[in-house]
Amino acid sequence: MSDEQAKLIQEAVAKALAGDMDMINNIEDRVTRSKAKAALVKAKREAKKSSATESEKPTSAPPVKPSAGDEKLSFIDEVVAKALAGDMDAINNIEDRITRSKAKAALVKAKREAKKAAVTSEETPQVESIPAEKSLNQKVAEAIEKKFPSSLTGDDVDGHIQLKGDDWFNIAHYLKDNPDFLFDSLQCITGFDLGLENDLEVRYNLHSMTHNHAIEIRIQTDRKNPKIPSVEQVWRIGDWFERETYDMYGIIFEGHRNMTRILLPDDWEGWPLLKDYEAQETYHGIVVPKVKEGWE
Amino acid sequence: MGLLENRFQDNVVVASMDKLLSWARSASPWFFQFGLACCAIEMMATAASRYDLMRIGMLPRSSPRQADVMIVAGTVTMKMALRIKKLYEQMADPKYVIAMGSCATSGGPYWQYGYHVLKGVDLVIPVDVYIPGCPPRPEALIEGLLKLQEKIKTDRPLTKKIA
Repeated sequence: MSDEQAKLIQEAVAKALAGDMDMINNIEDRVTRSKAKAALVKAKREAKKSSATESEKPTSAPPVKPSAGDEKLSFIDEVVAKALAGDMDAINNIEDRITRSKAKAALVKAKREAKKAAVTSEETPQVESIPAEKSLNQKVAEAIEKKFPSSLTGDDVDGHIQLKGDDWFNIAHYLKDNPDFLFDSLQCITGFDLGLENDLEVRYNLHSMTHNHAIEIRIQTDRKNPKIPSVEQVWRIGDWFERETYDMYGIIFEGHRNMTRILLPDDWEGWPLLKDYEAQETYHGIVVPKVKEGWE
Repeated sequence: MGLLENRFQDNVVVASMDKLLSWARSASPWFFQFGLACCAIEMMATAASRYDLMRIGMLPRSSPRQADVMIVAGTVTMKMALRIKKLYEQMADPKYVIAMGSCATSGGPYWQYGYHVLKGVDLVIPVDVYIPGCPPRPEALIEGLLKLQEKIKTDRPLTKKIA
């Protein structure tokens, strides 16, 4: 670096620290300009570090900056206080963009702290505000209970609604047509094997395009004789969903117009996703190896 | 090759004719266009302009009756195995089979626990060339096809085969 360049940089940095950025920005040589900016950043950092002991610094520039910063800080505090009192114009009218955003950040922080303090000091009001409105699940469960008495099983309706299978076809129609719910979309049917000692279960995910809300219905059925009313004629997509569930679990959907396997071949034996499934030995003369160990 | 096939004794020299025929066969093995899984995507890429299978004389045919080579590209399920066999039987002689990818050669990722997957298409139909990979890149498939062409070139269709 030539002496001339070094001098130029020093001068420019000093001016910039005093608030006049034009000199740095007007340096024509790109390399010199970036060097000058780097030096400026460094100077600022040092100034910050030693702001407590600023008087020791020999350069004339650094002392200017902290005091400017202090001014800004106190200004921000003032504005935030105003905003908390309800006057947002004070913040919005700040012309310097950086100061404005700093002020806003400070405001958010102040608000958050205020909230935290409120929570810790008085916890009871929050608890009171929760049961203001019934959840969708509660509403649906109540509506079903009213229209189809004793078809719900279990009181807990958080997360899902557990139903008896008997009236499922009518309930499905009701859920689809009721203007409060309008579950016009059956998004998924999932089969479940709850274990060898327990029942099989089918879960339906319903969604309403109109209201943009969703629920989950669960229906259990006997493991020995799994039967559930089909909703294929309520939601057309139920056709394939139910056939797949039948394919994997052997659950028969009564009323389905084509209750056949969908993925596996029609002459396959057994229900592969049951816990006690054992693959057949051969299929049309082809061996169905269950576990093959090592290479021959 | 109908009339001439396998009609000549060993003492009749048909060497040049044999060679000519097998060379002609090797230069245009049309393959049967069907895919079973992700390998089919690589097969499509191989047939498309970047790798351009047509430069080695191969083009896809949509009917087994017009095809010489069956590229089994993908997982062969038990359900599909019967259909593969039927399709193979519908192809006219001479016919060749390429098992493309791990699934078609050995069951691939379904080797141990897939109850529904055929552990290698060679359990159902005879395979000429195996191409490893999951899925094999187009270069690998082309390598396999060139190997198949070499194999076809060694065929001697006119010479009578002695047990």
